[in-house]
Amino acid sequence: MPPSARSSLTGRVKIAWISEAVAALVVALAATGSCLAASGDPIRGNPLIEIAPGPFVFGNDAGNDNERPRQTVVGPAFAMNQTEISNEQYQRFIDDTGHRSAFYGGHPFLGLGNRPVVGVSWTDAEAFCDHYGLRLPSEREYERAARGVDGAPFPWGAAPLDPMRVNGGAETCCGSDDHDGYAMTAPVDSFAEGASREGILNLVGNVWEWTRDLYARYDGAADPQNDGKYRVLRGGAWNSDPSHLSTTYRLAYDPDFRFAANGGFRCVRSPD
Amino acid sequence: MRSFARLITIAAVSASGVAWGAPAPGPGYVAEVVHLDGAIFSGLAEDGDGLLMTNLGDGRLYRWSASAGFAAFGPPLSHGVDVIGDPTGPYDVARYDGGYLVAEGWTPVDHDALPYDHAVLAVDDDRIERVISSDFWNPFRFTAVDGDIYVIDAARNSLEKLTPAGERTSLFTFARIRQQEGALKRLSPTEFSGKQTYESDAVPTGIVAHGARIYVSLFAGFPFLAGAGKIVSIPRSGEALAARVEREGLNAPVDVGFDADGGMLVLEHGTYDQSVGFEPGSGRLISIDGGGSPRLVLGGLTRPVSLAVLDRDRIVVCGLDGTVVFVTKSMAPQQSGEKEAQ
Repeated sequence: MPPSARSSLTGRVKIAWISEAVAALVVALAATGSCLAASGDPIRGNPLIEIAPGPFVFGNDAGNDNERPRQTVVGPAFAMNQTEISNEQYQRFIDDTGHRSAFYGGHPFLGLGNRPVVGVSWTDAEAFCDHYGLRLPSEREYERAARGVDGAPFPWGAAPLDPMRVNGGAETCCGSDDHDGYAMTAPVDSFAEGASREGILNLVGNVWEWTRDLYARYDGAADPQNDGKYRVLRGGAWNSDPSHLSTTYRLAYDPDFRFAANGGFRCVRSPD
Repeated sequence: MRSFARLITIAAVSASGVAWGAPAPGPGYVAEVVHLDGAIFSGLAEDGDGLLMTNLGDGRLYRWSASAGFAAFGPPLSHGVDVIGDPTGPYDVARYDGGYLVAEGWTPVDHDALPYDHAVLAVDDDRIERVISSDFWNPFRFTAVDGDIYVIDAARNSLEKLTPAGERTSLFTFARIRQQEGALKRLSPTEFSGKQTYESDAVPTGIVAHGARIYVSLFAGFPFLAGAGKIVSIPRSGEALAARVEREGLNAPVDVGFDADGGMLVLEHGTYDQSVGFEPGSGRLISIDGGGSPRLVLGGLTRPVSLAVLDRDRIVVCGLDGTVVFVTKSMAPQQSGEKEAQ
């Protein structure tokens, strides 16, 4: 056939994060979750990587208006899935809960077991993480994981984009290409050379990743047309041009939208 | 202008999860439904007292008659899903030159390429007689008139003319459809500024010859905004510098036809919701007389794809959900009936 995306703004990002003591408590509570695997990682095959507490750079004065200001904030410890959630992992969730399938779960490429699940709404993603006693990452958690503490432009540091490190798209928005070896999504454990310092994979490229944050300006200025309506995705995807393969680009989308062939997620164990 | 979104959808008309709808005839019509479990109907044509149709679910051609029900015939044809996850296979069929003309879609993603892919084929009851032309990307529908075959290519977004000997001439490429300013901002404020305009593919989905013109339904691509589709026409002879817009403001039109009185019939695939996709039951068949308001002939359709005008009082519609709906004019109160597959 031819060819053929809401709530009050209560989640505006705080400048200072909660204390390490609270973080430790949340971690302890999460450890009592009913879905914990024997290893302590709730999602089999997708370990949680610990991120240390402390100050880090957040925001980007060289980016779009909505990425500003660049500032140093302090965050607690958290732990993030090493990889994006795969189709295989999402299928186990469906089997356990009867939740609806991902829209592209049956796609010949996008639906492969080791590829990141795509075609999920924000609510689908949140339900998955909640089932495992986890949450979607906040934008701050994403940036801390993807940029380290010094505000690096990429998970691997300051070196420029490289097809050995990122599954991205064509030079101009928004077409796919296979110069990195993949015309569409890549296996969730691919691109080891693009891993973050802590070893988290594909924080840039492969699929955009839902965060739990409502879209809002960082400076707290009101934006009545948009406040409380949209959730933010991060990281760019297999069809993104270089300007969107960024650790600071903010993609706000209707949280109900579930037909993105390039939108997925991962989870965090978070104290916030 | 920008033409695409950061988040993309790639399976606009996927048949997965399609549920059998509950067609409801408009005032002055009665409807009768037949259904074939598992079928993904695509092409539809009148065939004497019965119908011809194509089934993307099994790659077969089908006949239907009131006495015999559904019966597969002809050679098994390549079918499956294409690289973007949509069903592909025999898209269209009609009687032609003592046999049948079939439009075959592009190669299924898990198949080796065949000479019969993305082609217009001449077939008989048992075999593929010949490939008239495979010089297409995705031939979706055709109409044969005065010895020539007019084909819409749903990947090139073009109208092609094909001679029986296989000579293809590109007649017209449809311009992208400008979306209403600000309409996409509802989806994403970071991607779609209210001050910018955007375009989507104008995908030809239905074709009919009427008088001296060829009429084509244009289905506006992602995000499938309500009211973005249109019907255009092009003269059969001479050079077409522009398509004439016959009707705008349509919801994902997938086929066009004319009734015995010359009134235009438009089959709309339905309205698209960002959470559920094309909303079940939102497809409809409407009659458009001149510039007047559309008149509902048949509503409550789920994923309809083709229509055929059988005679003065009967119209038939088929869908990806395996239904075929017969609509008949009646002076009696509205009613509808269902009949199991035979």
